[in-house]
Amino acid sequence: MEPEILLKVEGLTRHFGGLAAVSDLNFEVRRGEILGLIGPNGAGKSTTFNVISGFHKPTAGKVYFVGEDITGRNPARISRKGLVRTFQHGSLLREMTVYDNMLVATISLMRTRPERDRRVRETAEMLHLSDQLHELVGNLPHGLQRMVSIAIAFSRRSRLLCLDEPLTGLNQIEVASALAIFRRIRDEFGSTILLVEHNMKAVMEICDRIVVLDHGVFLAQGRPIEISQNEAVISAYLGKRK
Amino acid sequence: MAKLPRALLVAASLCAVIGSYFSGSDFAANLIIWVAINVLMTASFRFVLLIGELNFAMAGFVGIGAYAGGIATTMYHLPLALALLLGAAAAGLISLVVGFVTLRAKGAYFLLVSFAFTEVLRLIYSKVDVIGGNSGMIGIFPPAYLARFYPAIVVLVVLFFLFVLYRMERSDFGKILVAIRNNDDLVQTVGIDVHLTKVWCLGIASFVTGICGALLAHANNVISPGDFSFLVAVYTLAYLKVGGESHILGAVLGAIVLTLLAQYALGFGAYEHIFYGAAIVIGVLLLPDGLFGLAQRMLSGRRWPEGSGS
Amino acid sequence: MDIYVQLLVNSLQIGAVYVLFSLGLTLIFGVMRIVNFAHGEFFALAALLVAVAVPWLIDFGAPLPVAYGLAFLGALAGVLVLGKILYEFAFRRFQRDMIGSFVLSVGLALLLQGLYIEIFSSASRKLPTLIEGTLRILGGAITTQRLVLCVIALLVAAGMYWAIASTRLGKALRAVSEDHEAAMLQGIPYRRIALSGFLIGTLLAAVAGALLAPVVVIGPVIGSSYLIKGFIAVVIGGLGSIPGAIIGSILIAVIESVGGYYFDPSLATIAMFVMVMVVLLVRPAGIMGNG
Repeated sequence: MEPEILLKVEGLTRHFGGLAAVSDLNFEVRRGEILGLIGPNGAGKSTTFNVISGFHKPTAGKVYFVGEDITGRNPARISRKGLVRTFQHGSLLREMTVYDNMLVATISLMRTRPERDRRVRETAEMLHLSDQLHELVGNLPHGLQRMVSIAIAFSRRSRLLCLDEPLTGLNQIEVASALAIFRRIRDEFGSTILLVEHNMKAVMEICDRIVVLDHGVFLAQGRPIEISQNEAVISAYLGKRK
Repeated sequence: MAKLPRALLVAASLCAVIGSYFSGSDFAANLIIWVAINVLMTASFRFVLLIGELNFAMAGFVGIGAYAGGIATTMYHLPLALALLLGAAAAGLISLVVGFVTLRAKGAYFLLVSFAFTEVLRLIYSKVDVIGGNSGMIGIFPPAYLARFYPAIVVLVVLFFLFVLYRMERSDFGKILVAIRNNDDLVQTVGIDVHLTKVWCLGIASFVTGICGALLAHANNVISPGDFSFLVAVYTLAYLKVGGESHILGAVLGAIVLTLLAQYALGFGAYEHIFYGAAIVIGVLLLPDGLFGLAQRMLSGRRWPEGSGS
Repeated sequence: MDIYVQLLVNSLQIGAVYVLFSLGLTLIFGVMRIVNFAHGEFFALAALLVAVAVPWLIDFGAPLPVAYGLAFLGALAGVLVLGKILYEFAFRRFQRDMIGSFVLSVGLALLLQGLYIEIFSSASRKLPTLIEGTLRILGGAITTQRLVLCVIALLVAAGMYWAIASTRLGKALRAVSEDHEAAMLQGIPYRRIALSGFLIGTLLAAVAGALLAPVVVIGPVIGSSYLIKGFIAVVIGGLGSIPGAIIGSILIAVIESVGGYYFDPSLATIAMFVMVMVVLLVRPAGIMGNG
């Protein structure tokens, strides 16, 4: 059986003032998988995310979501089609409560307050945030803040969640908890996850497949075990160490 | 944040309406009207601050409301209510168009575009003769049988729209506005078109601002382009800074206190500049949450503000 | 042909003052990320101080050039003192806070202008001419005094440009403008540089005002009109960009002189405002800006 392709990136290129941040990138995300997008710093991962989610227009290439061409569409439209992303540095509304953060995510999905309220509470419970619902996000410890950003994205029950370095700054227990939640999101709700991460151990543990970028160019793809033994990948990472 | 007893607010509002009917002297009546209109202008200015923008185009929309209302009354002899609504509608609709174009800019840039818009409008008013050109429009009166009630009408209308703005702020739409101020990329990412939402916000605020303009026109009976310079927004900013930005009652308090103070403080000309300038400077430097924030803190026993105002 | 040269000459002299004014404004924005609405009032203060000091010194028996020289220095010093005071007690707390600093500067501008009207009275002043004579250049006429003003202003602007590009302070200012956190990491003393930037910017406004005093009738509200045009110039050129400020100022000057001649001044003003709106919408960061 052919795996259903949820997101397809074709020939994606993005130039930034003379530099090619991403060049001729091709990869696809299959329904129900957790795909890791990794690479040394400057590899073009964030740029790829920005283009996929509509925050930047590509210089060339196309992005297809569930078969539809979403290249260059604006982020709100793409989001309403079922693709949600988080941001590396704070995907949060710091001066608002946890409840309101998630509430805002449900507004374009549901018309009435009771419906929105129920979705927020269900999501909070899944992510162990029920006790913090009325806290201001800015006052929460870092680990919980990260959870809130995932909660905001997940409130939408989108088909595809694009998470940009969600595990940064989390300790081991928090990471394990987050990974368990990713699995639940995938298993219980059928969502697909595209994950950019630097935490290699977590990536190897949770991802079904991995795509590796280096200097904006596709380097390798495959299952974690294949990638960990891939010579080109190893030298790309080693070459970056000072 | 202390929740103000609803009963108290309703009682105060009723007193305001009744009191304004029995206001007696012309001076008191005019003062009440002036204060009430300033309150609503400050509240509508504050509404745009919810998305994090300083609406320096406000004077332009006050002007549109005033001229539209004035035209409705003097040239078409429409009833007062219709004149007010037309003023509001004109301001609101034009703001949707202007906002769609100008809200693409942010911060300092939006400020300048708004300011430019206000000045362009003012120059246009002074060149269009059918509305009086530089000398302005005269003879804008509420119908004779309503003249006695005018202060009460103004207060009623102001209270009604204050309530409307308050409810909008507390609704889910209001939460989106505050979210946009916090992190507009995130709001895009959860499926909300930020640009359109900002335009609606300006539209709603300008509708209310238009009402203020029309009310003003019928109160002063004479309007001219000079009434609608960007100083209008600056004075409104003073009211808001002194009163406090974080709650709509801050806008109310600031407008009341400063308008009354200005009446009793000093006369015209330079003193006006010094007064309002000092008010803003003091408000910004010494009262980060404004008088309302100060009152809240005193009532709940805390001494120092928790960080600066919104 | 003559009329074009005259318009060009007029543009140049108007532009010279705008250039200095805008350079100050854009520098302050670049270094401190604040929009200083009170900038015009520093400019006005310098002009007013010169306008008041010169007749007073002449009454004391000072010869004209000496009176002007002392008045200039006094004006610059006065403005610098005011600038330092305002920086310490007001602006320092609001740097990098665009809305807060803007609001504060609006209040200060209003307050200062009100004070000027009280202190310096509404009567406008015209000063005795320092340098007599009119020159004809290629068919355009310009009073010698205005020409000197123009040349000095352009020299100061060029000097600023060079200083920003070549001196250590200039490089530090640029570094802070571009990325203040990176600059701090590299050991640049942010606080001191911010103060320097603010004072230099304010000094530029003061020089513009002092140079303008002998040439134009000075009234206490002169700050507002220059502020608006200066803002337009800076925003068109790009907030924070020095070349942008220069380009923007020249553009404004040309529109003002050409528009004022062929149409009337208020239409020229409308044109400027419309142009700002168009530029901001097409290229929000300004012609040379980077957001």
